[in-house]
Amino acid sequence: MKRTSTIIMGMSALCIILLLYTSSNVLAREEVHTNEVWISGFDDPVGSHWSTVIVGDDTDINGSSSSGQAHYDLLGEELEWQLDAPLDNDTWIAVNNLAYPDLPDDYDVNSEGFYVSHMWGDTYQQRADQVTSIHFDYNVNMPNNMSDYTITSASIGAVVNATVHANDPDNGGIEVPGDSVHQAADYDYIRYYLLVSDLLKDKVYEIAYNKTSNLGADARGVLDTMSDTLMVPVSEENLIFFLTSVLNTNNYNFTLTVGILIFAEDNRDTDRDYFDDVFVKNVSLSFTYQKKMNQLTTLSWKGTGNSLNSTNVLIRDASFEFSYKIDVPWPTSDSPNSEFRMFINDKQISETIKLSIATPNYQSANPDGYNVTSLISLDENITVSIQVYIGDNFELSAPIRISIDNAVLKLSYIVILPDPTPTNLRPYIYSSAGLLAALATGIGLYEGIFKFPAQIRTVRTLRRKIRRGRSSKPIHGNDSKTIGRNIFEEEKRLLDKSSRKLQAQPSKKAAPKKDTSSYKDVSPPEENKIPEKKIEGSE
Amino acid sequence: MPRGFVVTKWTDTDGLIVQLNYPEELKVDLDDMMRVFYAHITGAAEAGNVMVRLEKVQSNVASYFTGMDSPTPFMINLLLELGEDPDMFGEAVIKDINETILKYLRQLGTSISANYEVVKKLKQYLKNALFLLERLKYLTKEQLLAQIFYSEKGRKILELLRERAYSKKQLQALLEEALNKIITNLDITIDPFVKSGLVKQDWIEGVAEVFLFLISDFTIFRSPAIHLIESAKSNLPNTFLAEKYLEEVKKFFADYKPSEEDNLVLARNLTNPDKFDYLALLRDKPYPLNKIPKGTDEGALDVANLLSVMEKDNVLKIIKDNKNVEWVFLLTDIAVRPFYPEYMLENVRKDQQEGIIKKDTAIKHLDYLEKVYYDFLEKKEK
Repeated sequence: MKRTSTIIMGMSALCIILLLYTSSNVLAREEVHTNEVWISGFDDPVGSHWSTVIVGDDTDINGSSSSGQAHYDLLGEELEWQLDAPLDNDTWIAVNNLAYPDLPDDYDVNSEGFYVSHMWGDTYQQRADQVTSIHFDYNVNMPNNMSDYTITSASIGAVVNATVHANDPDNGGIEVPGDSVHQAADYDYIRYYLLVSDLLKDKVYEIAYNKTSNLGADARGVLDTMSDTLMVPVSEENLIFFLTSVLNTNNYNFTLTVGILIFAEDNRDTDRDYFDDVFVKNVSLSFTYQKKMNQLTTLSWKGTGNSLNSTNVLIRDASFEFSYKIDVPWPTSDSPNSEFRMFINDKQISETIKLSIATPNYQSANPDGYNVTSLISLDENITVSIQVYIGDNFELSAPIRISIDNAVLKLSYIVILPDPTPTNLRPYIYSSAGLLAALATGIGLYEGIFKFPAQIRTVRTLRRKIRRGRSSKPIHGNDSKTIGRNIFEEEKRLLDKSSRKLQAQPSKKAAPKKDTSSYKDVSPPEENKIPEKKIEGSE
Repeated sequence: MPRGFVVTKWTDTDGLIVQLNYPEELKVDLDDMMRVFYAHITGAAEAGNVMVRLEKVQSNVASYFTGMDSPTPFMINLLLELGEDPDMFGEAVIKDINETILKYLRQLGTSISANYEVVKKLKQYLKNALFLLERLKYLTKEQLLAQIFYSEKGRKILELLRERAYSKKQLQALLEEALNKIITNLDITIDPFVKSGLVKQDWIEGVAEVFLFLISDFTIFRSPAIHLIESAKSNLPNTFLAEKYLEEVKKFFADYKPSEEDNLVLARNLTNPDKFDYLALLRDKPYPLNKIPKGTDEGALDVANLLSVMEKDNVLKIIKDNKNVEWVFLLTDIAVRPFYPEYMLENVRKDQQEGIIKKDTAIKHLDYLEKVYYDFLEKKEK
């Protein structure tokens, strides 16, 4: 590195001498350009030198233009989903409840609802189906990818009813607390419930239920009927959580299950329990969901202008400005960190503009214009980008339009045009030009390559090759374990070195006079001390 | 902040009953506990962990069950706020706490007075554990790295990201396959990686997924306590102790070679905020055992037990001086050294050439590796 610097310094000195020598004989002509508009926006329609780039979730934001303005359309929305499944056996598939696989005697789905009927008797064909259950599954297919949405409200409702034998002298009936029985613990009951689950049923959540408690009391007579009754739903917050959970497993599909369980306890010597008509009359489920805006998503409006040649152009000044507005106030409390970011030749201007300060009327980003002289790159197309950066994850229930206009990049620069040169000066001119070129190459090599550490040069070379689609040779480097071991060995060497030094000292030598007061006064106040005691296992 | 603990047990005669809860004013709904219990016993009813959301108390529960085969099937439930997840504290820490609680529960017998003492000690432990969990939310960078290393999930994520950048979805799938368990909230799991600067999250143009790029790596090992060694070289705290201390350090490091097993011990010491406090304290100077500060009042810490464990782990050494006074020395410091992952360059190159990763992913990763190198360089120069 030192050698390179020395060569460059030497060449510079030589060039300066030669230039001084020839400067009296060669005259250059300057062409001054002041505040030349290099890139501007936006005409109607927006010119082809403007384009949009989205990085991140492209369902969050969209670029558009109209009436000579460029827009950033944040695609917020709130949608509603409602259960709309016909009541029939093709839509609702009857499946076993794996926990209680015995099926009731009869079950069906028809326009009246989900129907079950069952009879159990302890002397009737010695049946074991005391607990029977049936599930009716409906696979919901969402119209949207729910990983892009947040459920914000939800509700569930279901109506149930039933008719059972209560106290039939010939055929028995349902026993509930208060009835005369020989034995009882749980009595007879019907349990209705609704479940949501992922398709594989790894996650199953109960979202509403109803359990009969006194249906079939003897006092009601031969038959007892429970009129239309609502199921008890879980809280809205839990319903939202359960729906979110199952939709996390599969972003489009989940299963809604209507479950009916009949529990017939053996309460008498010749017990017979008739559950004549058990209905879940209807089920309603609905929820609203809002679009998620994803942090780090960006949309840039990028303008591309002509390039300038570095060999004969000097940039004196560059300024950039634009105006912006928003159609509705920015949701600052949900996303305080979203902002405009501006780039010149892909280099970011240090200032940003928070979207929270945007108003419905156009305002200038910087009335004096941003000074971007140092960001202009020569020998490549000069570009400007005005980027909307989403700085937080949040939900957006309605679209927001952010607009920009009056984007202007102005350049002031000098073009150096040499006069035709006299023939007798050609040798000097050529040698100066040659040396200048060598100097420029040297400086270029130093600035572009050699001033950077070897590791950075390797990264850049590799990146360049990948960008150009070229193959590259393997890069030798240590793996994680080896690097870790090397760091340890290095630190261990320090200890060895230090202990060797120590061994060189005579061990019985009197200790140097040193202030040891800090060791005498280390104890905390008495009340904070722990009693002196032996640490278990310390020996 | 975690709300508290509820310990329940299953008996054949009474079913599920609450053994104890801490704090005592914590309301426990037996129906909710049954839900947690059902979540455990669905399937093989084996020992293990589940995470359940409880309706009535509006709480998340990180629950550990000893299994129906255990002599007394206990269920240890840590009640968290709805937004909290056990991963925020590190799965290993929760595991340690559960093991300690079980240790106490197994001491319970038929003697009422003995049980009273055990329960008293257990409640004190639960109080400390809650305080510890609260402190775990505020870790230093070296503690965050140790937390990553101490957790099986953290080590696996590190191993995967050392190969290449993955999208969150890819990482979650690989992780679930490797660990054979469902990852409920990857964002919380990777939070220490982001906070400690190991990983950068970013989008790739044209791909609607967030990718995770490893931009820094780290190693853990025992290192000499430099400050104490320098002091000992100046015969501090006194010639006798200084010589003994240096002898012990030399003896230890003569045979010491880092190993994953030992590094896990070190990580456990670092992630425990109480142990970390003593480590930091003893880095400066040794203390006579009877004058060592007690720590904060809130924790009501069992310092003797804590130091004893640290001594067993060869982090501390108790040395008696010529007046038979015991001094606590840091035998080995714990070094957590971040380093530049130079091996990533070859991985990126190879993956891109073989078409495993896209060109844009490779370029984005190299952009980050370039930026982060200057940080390492700056730290090295300092």
